[in-house]
Amino acid sequence: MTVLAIADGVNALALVVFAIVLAITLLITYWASKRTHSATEFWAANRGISSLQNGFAIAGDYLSASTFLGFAGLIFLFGVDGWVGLAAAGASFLPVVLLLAERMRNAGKFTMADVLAFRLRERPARIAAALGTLVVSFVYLIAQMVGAGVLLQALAGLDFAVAVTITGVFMLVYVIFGGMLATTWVQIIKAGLLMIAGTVLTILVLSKAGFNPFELFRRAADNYPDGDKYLASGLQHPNAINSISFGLALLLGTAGLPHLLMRFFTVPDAKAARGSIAWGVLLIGIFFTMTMLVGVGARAILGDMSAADTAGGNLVTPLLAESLGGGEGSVGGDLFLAIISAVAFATILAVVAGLVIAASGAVAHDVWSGVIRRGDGDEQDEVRVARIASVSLGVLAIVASILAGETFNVSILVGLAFAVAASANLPALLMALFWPRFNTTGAIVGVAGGLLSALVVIALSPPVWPGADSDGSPIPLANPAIISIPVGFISCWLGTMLSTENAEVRSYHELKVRSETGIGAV
Amino acid sequence: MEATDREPQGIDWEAIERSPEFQELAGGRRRFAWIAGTIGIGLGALYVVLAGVAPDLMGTKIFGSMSLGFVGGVALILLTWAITFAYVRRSDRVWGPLEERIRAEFGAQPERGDRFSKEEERIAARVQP
Repeated sequence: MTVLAIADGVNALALVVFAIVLAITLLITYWASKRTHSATEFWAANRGISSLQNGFAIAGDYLSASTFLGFAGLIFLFGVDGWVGLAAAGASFLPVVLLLAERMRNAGKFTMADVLAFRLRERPARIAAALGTLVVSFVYLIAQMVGAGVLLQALAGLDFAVAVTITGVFMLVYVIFGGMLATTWVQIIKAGLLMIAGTVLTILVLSKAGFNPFELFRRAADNYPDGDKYLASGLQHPNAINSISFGLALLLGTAGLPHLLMRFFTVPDAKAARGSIAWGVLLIGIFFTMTMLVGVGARAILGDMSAADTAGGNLVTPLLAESLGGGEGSVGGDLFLAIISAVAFATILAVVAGLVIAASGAVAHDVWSGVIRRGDGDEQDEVRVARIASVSLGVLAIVASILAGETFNVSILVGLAFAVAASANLPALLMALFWPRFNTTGAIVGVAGGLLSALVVIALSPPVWPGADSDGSPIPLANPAIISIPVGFISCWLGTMLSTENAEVRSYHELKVRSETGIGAV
Repeated sequence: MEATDREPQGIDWEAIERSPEFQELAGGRRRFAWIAGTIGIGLGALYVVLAGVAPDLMGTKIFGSMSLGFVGGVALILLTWAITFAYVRRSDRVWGPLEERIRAEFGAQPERGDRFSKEEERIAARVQP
C-alpha cells in the first residue's frame, strides 16, 4: 500500500480535534473507573446498559475504520464489488438476531465460552473457545492497529510507530481502568460521531447531484474509465470463487465475532438483548447505505483516481471531505478533513478496545478461572488477571503491528478474522445450542478443524505463498472461507459422531430450557 | 463456580420442555428462525454468488443508472430490517409473555434478568460446595 500524506508535515488542526476526542474519552474512563471493581462490572458493565445504548455500542463495535474508509474506498475503486461485501455484512446479523442474541444472554455470563462450556466438559470446551476468541480478536486487532498507524500518518503527519503506540496506549487505558463500561461509552460516542459524520457527508454528496441519488450513479459511471463496467461486478475480484469466498466470510463471520457476542452480556435481560441487536441492525444498515452513497459519490465528484493515489482507497473519504468542505487549503476543507480524520481515529479506538476486552475475557475468565483454577478462583483475582492479560496482549499487538509495518496488507487480515470466526467459532456455538447429540470432542475437533483449515489455506494463498502477493501459490484464494466454513461444520459433526464419549455435565434439555426462557439467567 | 454458582435447584428441565407452553415457545421460534433465516441468508448467499459468477447481470440497470448490483444490496439490507423488525414484534407480543408464564410456573428464582448485587454474588459463591 502506498502511503500518501495529505498534509505535509504535522497537521495541527487534525491534532487539535484528535486531542478533543481523546480528552472526552479519558473523562469517560475516569468516571467508569470508579464503577469498575467486580468481574460483572469489568466484563459486563454490571449488566446496566440499556437496549438503545447497547444498540449504539454494537454499531460502535462493528463499524471499524475498514467500513468507514476501507469499504468506501473499495466502492470508489471497484463499484459493485465493494458494495457486495458490505451488503452481505448487513445480512450477516440475521443469525445473531434469530439464533444468538437472546440465547447467549440467557445461558452465558461473560464470554462466548460460557455457552459452549455449559453442557460440555468445561476445561476442554473453554480452551477450544478461548483459542477461537484469541485468534479472531488478535488478527482483527493487528489489522485495526496497522490501519490506525497508516491513517494517522497520512492524515495527521504522525510517524507510523508513534501512531500505533498512541492507539495501543489509549485502548489499554480504557480497558484497564474503565473495563466494559468505559469501552461501551467510547463505542456509543464513536457510533454517534460516525452517524453524524456519515449523514453530513451523504447530504453534501447528494446535494452535488440535486438530491437525486440515481444521478449520482450516472455521474460515477461517466467518471469511470470503462464507463458502465463500474455498475457491474467483477472489477475487484475477476475470479468468481474468490469473490464468493470473501462474501461468505462476511455473511457468516459476524455471528462468530467474540467481541460482538460479548456485548449481549452487558444488558439486563434477553428482552434488552433483542432490542439492542435490533437497534444495532438499524444503525449499521443506515451507515452501510450511507457508505455506498459516499463511495459512489466520491467517484462522481472526485473523478478518476487510482488505488495508488488514495492509499488503496483508504483515503477516499477524507479526500472527499476536503473537497466538499471547499477544497485543499480552504478553511472549510481543512476543518472538515480534520473532523473526518478524528472520527476515523475514534472509530479505531472503540473497536480495538472492544477486541482487547474480549481477548482478556478468553485469557482471564476462560483459561485462568475456568481451566487453571478450575472454577475455584477469586473474582478479584480474575479481574487482576484480566488487566495483566490486557496489557500483555496490547503490548504484543503494538509490537506486532509495528513489525508488520505500514505496507502490510490489512484487508487480508480482516478477511482472515471473519473467516476464522465463521469457521471455528460459529459452528461450535450453533451446535452447542441446537444439536442434542453434540459433545466435547465435536467442539474440540470443530474449532481445531475450522481454525487450522483457515490458517493453512491462507498460508498457501497468493497473499502469503510463495512470497507476498505473488503468483504460483498452490491455492488461488485470497480468503479461505469457502473451504474453511464447510470444514468447520463437518469437523464438529465428525468429531461428535466418532467419539463414544457420553459424559454430559448438564443436559441438553437444561441448556435448551434456560436459553429459551431465561430461567436461571444471571 | 462459573455458571453453576446460581444454579436453580430442583428444577425438572425435561418437564418444562414437555409443557405445552414451552413447546409453543420453542416451536414458534424455531419455525420463524428456519423460514426467515433461510430466506434472508439464502438470498444473501444468492446475491454473493451472482456477483461472483454473473457480473453482467449485476450491471443491469434498474433505476436510471443504479444497477442490479447496487439495488440488490440495498434490498438485502431492507430485508434484514424487515425480518429483524418482525422478529422483535413477534417476541414482544407472543414469545415474551410465554416466557414469563413459563418462568412464573416453573422458575424457582426471581426472573427478568435480576442483577445480583456484589453481596449476593459473594454469598452465592460461598455457599457452593
